[in-house]
Amino acid sequence: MSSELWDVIKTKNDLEAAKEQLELLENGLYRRGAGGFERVLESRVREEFAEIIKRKIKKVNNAGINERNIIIHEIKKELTKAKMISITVGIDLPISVINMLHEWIMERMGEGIVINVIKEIDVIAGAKIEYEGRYGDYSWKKLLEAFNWKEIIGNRV
Amino acid sequence: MSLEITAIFILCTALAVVLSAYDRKVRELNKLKVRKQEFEDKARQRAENIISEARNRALSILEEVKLDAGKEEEGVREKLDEVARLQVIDYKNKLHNISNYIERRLNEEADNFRIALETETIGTQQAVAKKINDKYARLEQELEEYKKHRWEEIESKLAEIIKQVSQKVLGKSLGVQEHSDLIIQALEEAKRKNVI
Repeated sequence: MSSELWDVIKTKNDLEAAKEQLELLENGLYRRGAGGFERVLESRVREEFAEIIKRKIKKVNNAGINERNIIIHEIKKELTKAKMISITVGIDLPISVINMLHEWIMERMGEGIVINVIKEIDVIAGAKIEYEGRYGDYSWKKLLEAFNWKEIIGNRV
Repeated sequence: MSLEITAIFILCTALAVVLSAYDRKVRELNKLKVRKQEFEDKARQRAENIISEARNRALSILEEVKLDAGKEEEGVREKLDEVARLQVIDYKNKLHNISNYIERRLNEEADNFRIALETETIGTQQAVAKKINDKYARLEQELEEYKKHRWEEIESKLAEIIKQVSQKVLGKSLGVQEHSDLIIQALEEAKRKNVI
């Protein structure tokens, strides 16, 4: 289950949205109509995430309220294991780049790591990376700051 | 009857005695009044005499006093003139002495002042020269510092401008693929350095 879940939940926003959607589903277990489990799953849960939940329900024959509740709690429990890597970049990253970064992270660091993308124009290019209290600045901002501009320019003034 | 006549006789006798005594007393009283008038007249006359005599005596004394006072006044005036003359002489002498003293003191003070002024002038000239030199040196130093500070400011601003231009130029000149590659490079670098 884990792998397919972390294929869908790639970013911090994905993680937070998934948690909110699970809350809605849990509340819908004992309701009918618009707030009911089925309607919420269809209309208010992200499609890829809903597919995972549907597959889990399908695996259990005649899954009733209790079984669905167990499934929701299993997913919730799995989500609590998520770790976060903050990547600060100089531009707005398109989905394709985020997916690529996610793949890179899954391959080299394992699953269960969500990306927190932060935009800072000063970074220019490259990235500042923070993970579990450790930090590295690999931005062009740092590279430019490392130049001794005064010395370079001073000789020409 | 005889008793009554006797009684009347006795009473007449007594009346005669009383009248007689009364007449005598009236005469004595008149005499006394006359004597009193005489005595008072004499006394008044005597008092007038005494007063007249006293007035004459007083006038006489006043005349004498006037004469004496004139003499005394003359003497006093002479003495006063003499004393005044002596005082004037003494005053002139003292004034002369004071004048000499003041002149002497003024000369001394003037000499002292001239010496002090000369000394002070020389000192002041030296102090002013020193101040000017110090001020000049300080200004020169301040000017150097100002120049240095301005150069640093210019250099700093110029460096900042170039840095900002570089940021903009570099940031805009890169495409998404280049950005993506650089982020992957950053992740790999972080991996190598055990940041992730």
